[in-house]
Amino acid sequence: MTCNKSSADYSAMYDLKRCLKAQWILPFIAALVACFIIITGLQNSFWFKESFSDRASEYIHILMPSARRVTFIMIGYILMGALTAVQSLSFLTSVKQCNVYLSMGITRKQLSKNRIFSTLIYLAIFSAVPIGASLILNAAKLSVTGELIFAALYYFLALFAGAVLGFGIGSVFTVSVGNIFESLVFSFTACLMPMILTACIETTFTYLVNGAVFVNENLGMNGGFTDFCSTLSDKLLLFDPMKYLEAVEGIGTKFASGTSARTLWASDWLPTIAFLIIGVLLVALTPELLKKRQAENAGMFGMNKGAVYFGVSVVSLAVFAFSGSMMFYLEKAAVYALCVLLPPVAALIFIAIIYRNKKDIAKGLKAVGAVALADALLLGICLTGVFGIYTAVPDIEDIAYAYVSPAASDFITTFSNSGRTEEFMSEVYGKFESEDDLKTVLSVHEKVKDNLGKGNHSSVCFVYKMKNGSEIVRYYRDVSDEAAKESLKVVETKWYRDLVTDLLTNDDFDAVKAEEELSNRYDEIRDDYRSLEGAEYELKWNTLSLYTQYCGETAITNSTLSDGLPLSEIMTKAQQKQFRQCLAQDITSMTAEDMFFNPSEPLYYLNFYLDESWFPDSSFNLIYLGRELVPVYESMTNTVNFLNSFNLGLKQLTAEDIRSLQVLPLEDRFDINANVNGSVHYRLDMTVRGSYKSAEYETGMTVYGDGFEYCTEITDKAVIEKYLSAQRAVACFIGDNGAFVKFNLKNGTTFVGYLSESVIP
Amino acid sequence: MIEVKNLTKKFGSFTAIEDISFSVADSSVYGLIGYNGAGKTTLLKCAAGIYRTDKGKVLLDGENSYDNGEIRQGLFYIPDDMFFISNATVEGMARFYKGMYKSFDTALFEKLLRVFSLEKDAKLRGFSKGMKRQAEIIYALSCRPDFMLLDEVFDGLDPQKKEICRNLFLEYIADSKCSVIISSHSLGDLANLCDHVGLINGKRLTVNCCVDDIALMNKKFRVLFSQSIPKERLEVLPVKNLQVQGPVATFHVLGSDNLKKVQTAMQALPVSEITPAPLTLEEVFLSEMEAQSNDLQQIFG
Repeated sequence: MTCNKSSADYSAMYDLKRCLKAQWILPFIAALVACFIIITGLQNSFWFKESFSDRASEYIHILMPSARRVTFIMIGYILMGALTAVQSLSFLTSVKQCNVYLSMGITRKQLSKNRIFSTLIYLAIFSAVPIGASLILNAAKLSVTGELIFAALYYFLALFAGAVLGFGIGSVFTVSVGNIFESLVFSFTACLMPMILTACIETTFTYLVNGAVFVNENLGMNGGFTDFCSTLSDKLLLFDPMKYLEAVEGIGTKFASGTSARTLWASDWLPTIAFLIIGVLLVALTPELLKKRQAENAGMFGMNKGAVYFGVSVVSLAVFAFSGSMMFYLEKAAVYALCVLLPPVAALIFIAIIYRNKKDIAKGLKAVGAVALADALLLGICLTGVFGIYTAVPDIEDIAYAYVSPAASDFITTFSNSGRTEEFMSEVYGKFESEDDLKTVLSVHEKVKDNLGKGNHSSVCFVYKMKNGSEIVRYYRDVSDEAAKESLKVVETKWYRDLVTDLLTNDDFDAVKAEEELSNRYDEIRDDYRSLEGAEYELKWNTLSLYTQYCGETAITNSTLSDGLPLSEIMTKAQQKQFRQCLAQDITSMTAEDMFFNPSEPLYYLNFYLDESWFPDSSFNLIYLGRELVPVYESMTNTVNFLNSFNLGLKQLTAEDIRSLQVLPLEDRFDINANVNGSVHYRLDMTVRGSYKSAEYETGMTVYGDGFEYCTEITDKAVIEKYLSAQRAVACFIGDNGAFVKFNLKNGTTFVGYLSESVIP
Repeated sequence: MIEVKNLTKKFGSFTAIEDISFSVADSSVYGLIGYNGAGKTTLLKCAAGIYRTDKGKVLLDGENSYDNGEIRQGLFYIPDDMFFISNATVEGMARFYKGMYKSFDTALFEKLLRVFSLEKDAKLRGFSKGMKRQAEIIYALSCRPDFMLLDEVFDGLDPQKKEICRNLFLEYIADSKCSVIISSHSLGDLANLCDHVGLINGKRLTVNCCVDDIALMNKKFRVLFSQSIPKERLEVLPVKNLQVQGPVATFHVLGSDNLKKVQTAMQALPVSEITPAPLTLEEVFLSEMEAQSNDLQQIFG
C-alpha cells in the first residue's frame, strides 16, 4: 500500500461526494415548506389586489408574503441551518463513528471542510429555490424587470445569511459538546438567544420594575408608542436574526415594484451582511475547533463547561422572568420569593439533566449557588427601580420636546349594538415643546411616578427627546386612578388646544398636498422609521386624517342617538364654519375634568365624517380625538347658543317609545366577553355608543353574543324613565362599577348606553 | 513500523496509561494484554490517531499518527465497538472503504467473502456479532493496510473462524510489511499469532517481550525441600503465586533477573528436588495480575 498525498486526496474527494449525497435533505424540506408558504401567500396577495383595486399602480410585484410568513420562513431557515450542522457533524457525537472517521486517511480539518462545503452549496441552492419560485410567479403574473431580479437577490441573500448563521452556530456547538442532545439544545438556544433575552428583559422590567426605560413591544405597553418608537427588539435588531427579515419585509417588494425611485439603502443590507459575516466566521471557526476537539468526548454529557454555564444562565434568566410575570396572579412577596427560589431550582434540574451523575451534579451546585446570588442581586436592582433610573424625571432645561401616551387612552372600548367589544390602539400626544406644555408634562410625570402600583393596571408612557440628542423613555405599567386621571391633563396643553383650533378652523388645508409631502417625508425617514422622527411623521399622518375628517360632513344627534341630521341640511357653508369656530373655542377652554368626567347630561352628540371626496380610494384609518362622538354640554355656551339659533327639530326619545330595558353590570360584561376582551383591568376610559349611523362599524365585524341575552327584561316605566335620563352614550369612567343598559324600542330597534354606579340601585 | 514512545493519556484527572513505550517491526504482530480497563483500547485509539496523547507519541513509519491523513491511508483500525453505515449491505460498506482507501482490493474482497461464505447483498444490521467481525476483518484485509490495529478482533468468532482469521492475518503479514497491534482477552489466540506481547498493568507496560522469550524468562517451579520450610522464608524472594504445603513449594518467577536471584537463593536452602517448567502466556498474565486476585480472595473471604 502506498501512503501518499494522492491517496489522502482520494479519501477527501470520496468523503465530499458522500457529504453531497447526504446533506441535501433538510435544506430541501425547508425549501419545500418555504415555497408552499410563499406561493400560497402570493396567490392571496395577487387575488386581493385584483379583487379590490382597479388602480394600475396596485398591480405590483410582490416577492414575499406577509411579515408573519416571512418571519416563519426566516426562523425555519435559521433552525434548518443549525439542524443541518448537527446532522452533518453528528459523527463526532458517536463513539463508533469517531473510531472509523478519525482513524481513516483523512484529517479532521478535511472532514469538517467537506461537510461545510457541501452544506453551504445546498443552503445556497435551497435558499434560491423559494425566491426563484416567487420570481417566476411574479414574472408570469406581471413582467420581469431588473429591479425585480435585484430584489430577488436581496431576499436570497437574506435567507442564505440566516441559514449560514444557523449552520455556523450549530457547527460550533456540535463540535464543542459531546452528544446530539446537547448540540441540538445549545444550538437552538443560541439561535433563539436574542429573542429569549429580549423577552426576559422586557418581562423583568414590566413586572418587577413596574415599567420600563425602553419601549416594550409585547407586554401590554401603550400601543401608540410601539408603532413608532424603537423598542428593545428594534435596538437589538442586529442581534436577533429571527426578526430582522420581518423588519425589512417589504423593502425588496417595494423596490421590485419600482413604485419608488429609491434604491435599497445601506441599512437594508446591513443586517444581512452582518449575519452573513458572523455566520461565515462561525463556520470558519469549526475546523479549528474540530482539530482541538477531544474525541473521547463523543456521546458524553457536560463535557463543555462553557456551554453548560451558557445553558444554566439562559434557563435561570428565563425562569426568573417567568417568576416575575406571576405578579399578575400572585402577591408581591410570593413573586419575589419565586424569583429567588425558582431559578436555582431550574438551574439544578438543568445541571442534573446534563451531568446525570451525583458527583458532577454536586460540582454543579456551585453554579446553582451563583444563580441564587445573581437572582437576589437582580431582584434587588429591580426593586430599587434600577437604582432609581426609572423613576427619575428629567430637568426641563434639558428637554427639547416630549410625547405622552396618557393612561386614559390606553384602551378605548367601544360597545356597539353588534355586541362587539373592540379595543383601539392608544394615542400619543405631542410633541410638547413650549415651556408651559413641558411643565404640564413634567408635573403629570411627577404625579404618575409617585402613585405607582396601585392595582388598576393603567399605564402611562413618557418619551423625551433631550437637547443633547438622547432619548429618554419612561413607561409605567401600573399607576393609580389619580395618576391615570392626572395624565389626561395633556388636553389642557397649548399643543392640544392649538391642534383642535387648527383642525376646526383651518380652511386652507390641502389634504392632497399634505399627503404628498408626508410620502416624501417617509422616504427620508424610512431608514429611521421607528424613532422620534418616525413618531413625528406618524402624528402628522394622524393629524392629516383628522383634518380630512373635520373637513367632511358633521352630523348632530340627540342624547339618545335616536334622531339626528347632517348639519349641511340646516347650515350654509359659512354657518358651518362659524359653528366650528364656536366649537373650537369651547373645547379649548375645557379642562380635562370637563371633557372626560363631565357630570351633566350632553345636549347633543356631534359626529365628524371623513371628506371622502378628497380620497376616493383612501385607506385612511380614521383617528378620532379619543372618542368617536363629541358630546356637547350646556357649559359649551358658544356652541350651544349657536345651535339654538337653528331649528334642529331632533325628536327626543321618551319612556313611551321604549318597550323594555336590560341591565348588564360592567363586571359581568367583562366576564362574559373575557374571551373577546380579555382585559378586565382596562377600566379608565369607556366609550359607549348607540346604534345611530353605526352601520359602517358593524360591517365585517364578527358578531359575538353581547351579553344581554343573560339579562332580565325590565318593563317598569319608572325605571325606564330614570335610566333613560341617566344613560350616557359616551362615558369615561374610572373606578366605576357601573352597568350597560340596553333599551328595546317599540319599533324593534335597540340602543345601548352606560349607567354610572351611582345611578344603579 | 509502529513506534509507541512514552505514551501517556489522561481523561480529565484520571490517567489511563502512563509512559508506555514499545515498537512493532514490519511484518510483525504485537499482542497487547491486560485486565479490563487497563488501557488497551485507549492505547490503540491513540495509535489510530483518534485520541490526542497528553505526552509522548505514536509514530507510523516515523510519522505522527494523530490527525495525519496521509500516513493513516495505510492504517486500518478494527474497534471493539464496530460501526457500519445504517442499513448498509456487505457490498455497500465495501464501497465506503473502497472510497476511503485507494488501496482497496476488490478481487481480494470477493475472495474473502467466499472464504467466510458471506453474501454481498446481505444487510449488515442483520448479522450476528461474529458475522460482523468477519465482515470487518474482510474489509480490513481488503484495504491492504500497512498498519493494523485490532481491538478484541476475535471476540464473537467461533473456533473455526478464529483459525481462518489467524491464518489469514499471518498470511497477509508474511506477504506484506504490515505491522499489527492486537489486543485480546483470549491469550491463547495471541500466543499463536503474536511474536511480541506487552502487558499493561497499573497504567504501565509491565511486560514487553518476544513470545519466544516468555518461556525462557518466565518459569514456574515445583520445589521439594528436605524438610518443611516456613513460607516467610520464601516470601522474601521475587516470586509470585507462592504456595507452600509441607516440604513442597510452588511459585512463578517472572523475568530473567528474578530467575537468577531465585536460583541463587535456592542454593542456600535445603532443596531436594527442583522442577522448572515454562510459563504459558496465560500464566504470565495471571501472575502479573496476582495483586488483583488477592483482592478478590479478600472480598470473598
